[in-house]
Amino acid sequence: MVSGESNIYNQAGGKASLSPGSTGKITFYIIPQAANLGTINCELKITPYRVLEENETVTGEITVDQERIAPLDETENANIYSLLQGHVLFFRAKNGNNYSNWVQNGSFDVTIENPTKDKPQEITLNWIWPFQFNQYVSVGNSALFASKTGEYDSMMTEMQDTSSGFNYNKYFYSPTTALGKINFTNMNAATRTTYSGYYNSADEAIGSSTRYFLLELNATEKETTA
Amino acid sequence: MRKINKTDILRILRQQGLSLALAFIALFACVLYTFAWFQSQEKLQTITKVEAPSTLAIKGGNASDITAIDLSGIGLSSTEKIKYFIFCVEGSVKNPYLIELAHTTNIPFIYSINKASQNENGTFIYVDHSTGIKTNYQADEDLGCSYINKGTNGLANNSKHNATYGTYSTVQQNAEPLYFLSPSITPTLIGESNKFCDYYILKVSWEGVTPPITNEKETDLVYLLARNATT
Repeated sequence: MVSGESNIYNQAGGKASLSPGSTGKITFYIIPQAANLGTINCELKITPYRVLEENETVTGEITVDQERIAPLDETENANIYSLLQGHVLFFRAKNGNNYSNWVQNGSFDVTIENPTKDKPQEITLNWIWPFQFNQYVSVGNSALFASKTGEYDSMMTEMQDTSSGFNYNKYFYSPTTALGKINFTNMNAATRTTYSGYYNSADEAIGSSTRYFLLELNATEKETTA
Repeated sequence: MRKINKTDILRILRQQGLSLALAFIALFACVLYTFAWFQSQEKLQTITKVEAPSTLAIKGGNASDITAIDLSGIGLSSTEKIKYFIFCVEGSVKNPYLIELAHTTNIPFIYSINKASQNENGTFIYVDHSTGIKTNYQADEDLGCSYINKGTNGLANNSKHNATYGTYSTVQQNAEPLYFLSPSITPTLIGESNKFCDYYILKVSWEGVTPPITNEKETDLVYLLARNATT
């Protein structure tokens, strides 16, 4: 059973709302209902919500702080759903200002050592909405990763993937043209500015269309072969 | 409950007779039931607010592109001992904002910012570089900016050193920037809309500076920023 003390409280400056540059922590608990609990697979999903117009009604709408909100249409806003995956990042570990154990594609496994019935196991996720494109490609102090690990390489591969031919992938967005080829090797000032521009346009698109994030965590025990 | 494994089932099959099949089915059902029980999905949900993007933009005179503000290469030959730059803060949300000027102190210029308004008879002229069209502005009251980290010698004191340079300690005293901050400004909306475009004149003066500044090719970094005052 999973129960939570979950909140996406923004750690930076005590702001109540999220924006690029925000970071935070989510803590939740897994309480085994039996001692032989196996590996748990957790799935994270972020859904963007928009504010409804006065006369608009949508099935599935909810009211938060006196605002009526509903999820963004997934087909019309496929770009936003995709960009959220690359802009709001979750990591299992944080060391100083750097992160590791990236929750790629929203899925991660938890194995409890010596699970005891009814004894809660604390799980922490560190999240960040990086302010700048540079934080992804650089390594070291003000970047996401401390060094160029396998995870870093996976992320770089994902970032440079524009094979869909769309004007967006999970990290970049261009309001006007298809993204074209993105290559991080030998970036000069001009290409760095262009990619930063794509990253910032993505943030702008997210912020303009989205008013709330709904974060969902689904936990399932993985099948064990007996 | 202990997990049932293959050897257990085989042992039970050998030991029991007719009830074998039943036992087997019962055990099997047990395993499935137990497995299904653990299989129950659990879900957590939480919701959080997202801030709308800043809607402020700094532009040049006549709401031209920001690249029109060119602070480079101030020559000291003009008799008036002042150079001015017209800029505006444009936005589409009626939130109060602040203007900040941050500059290093290699050149002892005197900076000041005045509110400005378009006036045919104004003495501050903005020339659009692409069209050549001139727009006149007049300087209204001083914006009321003040230095938040000026020391007694006129250079920056240490109060903002950590914010600027972190733990890096070998910084030449003129490279420590001075921060010139405006009070909170409520934008003047245009007509019925939520949009605004407030004009300002940044004056860079060397009038009365002693010892007088000479053309010795010093360089300063100057940053002009606008941000929402509520954050």
